[in-house]
Amino acid sequence: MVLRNRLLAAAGTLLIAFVAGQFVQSSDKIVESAHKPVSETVTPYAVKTVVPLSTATADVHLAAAHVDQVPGLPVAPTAVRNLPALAVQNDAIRQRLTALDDAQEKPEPEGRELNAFGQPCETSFRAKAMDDAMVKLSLRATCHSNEVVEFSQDRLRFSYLLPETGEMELMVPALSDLSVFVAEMRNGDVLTAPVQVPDASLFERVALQWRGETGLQLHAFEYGAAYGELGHVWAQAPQSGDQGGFLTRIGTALPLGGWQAEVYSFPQKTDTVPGAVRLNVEAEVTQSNCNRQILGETLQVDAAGQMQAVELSMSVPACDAVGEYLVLKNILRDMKIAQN
Amino acid sequence: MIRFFVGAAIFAALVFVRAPAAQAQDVALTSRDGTISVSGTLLSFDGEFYEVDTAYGRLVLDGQGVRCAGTGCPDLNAFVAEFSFAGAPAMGTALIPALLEDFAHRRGLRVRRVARSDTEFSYELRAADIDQVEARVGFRLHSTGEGFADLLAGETSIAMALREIRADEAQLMRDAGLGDVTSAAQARIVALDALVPIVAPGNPLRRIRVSDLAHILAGDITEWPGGRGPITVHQHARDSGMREAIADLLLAPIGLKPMAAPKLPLDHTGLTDAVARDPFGLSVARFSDPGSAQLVLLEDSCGIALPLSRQALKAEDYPFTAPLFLYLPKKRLPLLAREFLRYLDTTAAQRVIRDVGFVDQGREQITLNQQGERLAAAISKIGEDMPAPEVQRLIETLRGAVRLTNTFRFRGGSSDLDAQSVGNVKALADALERGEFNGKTLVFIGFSDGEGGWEVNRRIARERAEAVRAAVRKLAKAADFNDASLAVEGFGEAMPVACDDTDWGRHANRRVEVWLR
Repeated sequence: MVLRNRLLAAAGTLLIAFVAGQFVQSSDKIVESAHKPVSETVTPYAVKTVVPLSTATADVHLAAAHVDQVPGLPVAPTAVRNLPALAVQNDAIRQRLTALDDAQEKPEPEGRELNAFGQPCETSFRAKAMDDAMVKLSLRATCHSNEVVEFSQDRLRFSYLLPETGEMELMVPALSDLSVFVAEMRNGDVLTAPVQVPDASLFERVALQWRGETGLQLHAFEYGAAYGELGHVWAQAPQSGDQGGFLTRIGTALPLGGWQAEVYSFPQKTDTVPGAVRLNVEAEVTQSNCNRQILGETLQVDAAGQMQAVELSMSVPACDAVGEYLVLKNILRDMKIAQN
Repeated sequence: MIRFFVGAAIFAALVFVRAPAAQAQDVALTSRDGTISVSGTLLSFDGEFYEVDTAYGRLVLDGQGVRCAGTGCPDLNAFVAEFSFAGAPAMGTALIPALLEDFAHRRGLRVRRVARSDTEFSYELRAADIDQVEARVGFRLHSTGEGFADLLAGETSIAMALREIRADEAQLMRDAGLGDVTSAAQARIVALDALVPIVAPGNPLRRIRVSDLAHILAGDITEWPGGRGPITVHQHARDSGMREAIADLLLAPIGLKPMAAPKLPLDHTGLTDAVARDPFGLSVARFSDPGSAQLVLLEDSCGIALPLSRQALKAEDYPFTAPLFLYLPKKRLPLLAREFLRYLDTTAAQRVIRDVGFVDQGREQITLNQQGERLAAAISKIGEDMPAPEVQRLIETLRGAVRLTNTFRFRGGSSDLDAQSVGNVKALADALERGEFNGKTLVFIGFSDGEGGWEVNRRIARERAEAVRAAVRKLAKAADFNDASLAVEGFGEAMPVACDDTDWGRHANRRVEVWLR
């Protein structure tokens, strides 16, 4: 196996990772600050409203006593466990009250349930064809916030954490003229979104996908391009010139090993120059993958035009090779670009 | 270390079934109806057949017909078919893996590639629903010669070769008890490829004479014509099969030797990419993988462009066609391996072969219109070498007929068919047996080179055509020759494929074509 030392590239990775980390952190803060006021303003209200009503049980008496002693403090979690048993006639009000209390166990959303923000539980999943045979996926699952959603299209898989809002939009390459996207929720619910992508056949696509921290990367070298030249397309140089292709990275690394994929797309245009695109599978040796067997999967169109998956298993060198790259040139077949 | 691992894997492949203990494996094999029973020591089980050492000697029994009882019986569910390929990177990089993947996907098997490196890897094939390996297929890519050495040493089940096995290598195989690897049962052509010169896409060169190319490769010609600058020759590595083939086919015939091998050699891919980037660059690549470089047509010494197309390679009309071979030992391979070899003859496999850039061996038809350059050559022979009525007779014979890509050529100056032609005999015989040509006439037309007088050449050409027809007829035992008739013609040096002033030109011209009427 070829080990390639790419200190410069590694430094680039670190820099980008640093910047990305900053961004993620600050965006986390935005989410937090958007979230906090809700609980801060709500908790006293919950206490005030709930307590006078909750005279029926001993638990609530305790809670009431507690609250009476130290007014303004959040209520102890156990104190309101039995809230559903209270004599509140209006279901909607009960749910809203429950939802407002962070400590409260939320009922499993079903039917016309509400989420943490009191919005009704709604799911919708739409796919819309965009330029370059890309598809915009819009997922709205208001009662699945912070859950992992596993998306798939044919054999291509990618996972995302649904944000607090329960809504997200993604741009994903279409693999065929009629692409069917599937979103699987944590509770097993499956949403599908079919979409017609008229220009999908004008793009040749190949994908590398994996779960968790593997360090795997897809590199394309168009028309004999060398590393770092125009025409070397990979995650950190995802776009080549007018004649070339582009790389799309989808999915996020999640603690329980979400699916991630890199998809390389090459457009067949009327003025496309014949030639070849060499495809490398590479793995950066990192602290988390060194001295381990890593698994991935390649997706490539076969002679009959079917997208076929081949699992890939490779052993990453020992940890003293951290920062180097494992390079495999023969895993993916070259793309042959014919004249139109 | 790596070598050791491969050796161990092959050992397992040869034994097929690893016994739980080393003691004698006692088995009793009983026919399904219970009437016949044989007992003895199990020698091997390949997923289909039991080989048992019995009181009557070694017996091979079909596993479907018998039940096995006793301590030595293999676990039929846990059987893993193991076999391996070793040899030419040109075949092991994309071609054979793509075929194996397609074969597995068609059978609904999940495919996992275990990559130790680009040159050492294996495939694990699993049933889609259960996580149990059904087959493990090893790959080791180094060179054609090393592939033969691995086969000889029992370190691989199948050798991948860019050339035919040499007589001395075949003798070693025979001595080692591997049988006659040159026989049709043990040697097979998977696909076709060819040597083609390449330049950068912007280079205006579109055609080059074979002799000029040879002189450039030998270092005698160093400048592009028209003062366009120096020629950079991108050379293949010292031990590569390509360097060998270029020396043998292009340089040796005119007594030239290649320049010294590069100190930092590139693989074939790297070489074509280097040429694609170098406006002064030139190299010789495989037709199957010119990368992003520009193919250049070869011209013979008379200035006629040698036909370079899928059909021309199938018909061996392109003189630098190179068949890609698989060589098998005499021993029985596991069932899955044999099924894979059978799959190679299917149209599904042919499609994969074309998809990865190689030329398959599926029969195609070439119309007379597609052969304008050859007809012009035939007409130009009038007066000079041949009388006009003879050329007219040729054109009358061909009118309304189509040529099949199956063409027959001969080794050196002999009457032995070359490897690709041996395959063509079988392909035509099979087609006749299937009734593919019913109601039609197959005309075997012999042609010769231009050495000697045309009447003698016509006779020799006709005799060759008769010999080929006899070989096809002999093999097509089940064919009904009332339905499809086989005719014979001879036309000497008419309609040459190339000029006669080189060995390869004369070789290309000595042939038997098959036309369908």
